[in-house]
Amino acid sequence: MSEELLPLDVLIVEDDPLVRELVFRVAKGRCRSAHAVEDGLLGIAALGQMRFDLVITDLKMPGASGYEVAAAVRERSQNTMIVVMSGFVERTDETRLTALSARLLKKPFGVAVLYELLESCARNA
Amino acid sequence: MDPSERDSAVDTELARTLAPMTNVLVALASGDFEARVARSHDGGPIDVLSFLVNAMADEVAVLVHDLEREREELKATRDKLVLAEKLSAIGEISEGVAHELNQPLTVIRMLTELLAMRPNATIAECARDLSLLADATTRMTRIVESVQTFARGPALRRELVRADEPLEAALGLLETPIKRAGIVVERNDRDQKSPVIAVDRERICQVFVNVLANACYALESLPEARSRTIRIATVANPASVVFRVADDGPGVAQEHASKLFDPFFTTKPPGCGTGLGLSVSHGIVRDHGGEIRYEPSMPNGACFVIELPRSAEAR
Repeated sequence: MSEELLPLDVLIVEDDPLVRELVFRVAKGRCRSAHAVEDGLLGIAALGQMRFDLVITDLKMPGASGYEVAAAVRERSQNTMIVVMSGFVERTDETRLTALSARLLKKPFGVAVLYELLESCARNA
Repeated sequence: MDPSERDSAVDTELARTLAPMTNVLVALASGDFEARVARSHDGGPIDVLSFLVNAMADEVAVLVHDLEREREELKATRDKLVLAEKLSAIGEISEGVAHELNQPLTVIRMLTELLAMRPNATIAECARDLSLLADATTRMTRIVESVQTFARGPALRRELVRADEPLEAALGLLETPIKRAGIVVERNDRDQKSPVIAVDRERICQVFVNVLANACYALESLPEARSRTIRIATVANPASVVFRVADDGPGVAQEHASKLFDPFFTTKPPGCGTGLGLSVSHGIVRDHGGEIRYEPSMPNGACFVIELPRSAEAR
């Protein structure tokens, strides 16, 4: 891609291998760096290894849920942006997400939405 | 007049005097709560008795009316509860379906958009993405099929079959994965004459496929060196046939045991199971008037017990 990479280090936490691969592919092509892990516990562990500007996490995962990942992010940093992917918005606790200053990304989503999201995060970074 | 004639005359007079009250009591007993005795209002003993019968009839009428109202309220409450339960089941199912379908839908949407961004790429260059697209649709088909099976009514096509037939059919369907995983199937029913049961052969086969496939999945997770065994025991009781399918895999965590038969409950990673297999199996066995339950297998592993009633004509 000829565009300049967005100044974002992104962590993707998603247990579904295909969704993880695709979100990773999009983020890697557009951002300074992208890292992907397959469950909530690995996501929380990754937070201790480097600083991320953006964490995109699934909600329903084995090990630790997206809420727990988001809470762990907030414990470390107020500046890291959090995006929670959810396939069932009706059962998503939006109050809890708001309290963690996390944004909701409703599944299914497309690449265009993801690009917009990355760009808006880069503007706010 | 001799004494017996006199007694008879007294009886007749008494019956005539009491007839209005008797009639009202008979009417009340047969459900006419409007019936009342016409009183003479002379204050005599018969009038007092009539007054008391009427007072009792009033009281009975009020009680019956209250009872009817309470019964209607109870029915309305029960209907509401049944509806709430149905809605909650629909909510649970739609949550599961939404979650399960939204994963492959996300994959399909992202892949098609990514492919559209490469208008000059050859089919060969896109082969992997195209195969991922196909995988996603297969996954969606499986979810839809599971939901259809789950939603299907209890209309069973029962026929008389040897009890081991559906089991044999299920083992036949799973022959390849069982062999590939190096699993040994041990059975105790080789020498016995199998009893006859009246079941829907395909549905019961489906139950065995689900239970055996779970056992295979559990055994595949064991280290290569460990022996992998599925033990199938069949016991014919006078009223039922009991199948026990046990594996020596890692078993089911205690906190998961109570959820095993819940729709969409799964411990498998995404894409490997819809969480409907055991729930569907539970429904099928229940429709046959039987029971399926989980028991830990000693010293380790899982055991599923399937009990099917023997029909009267098949016994």
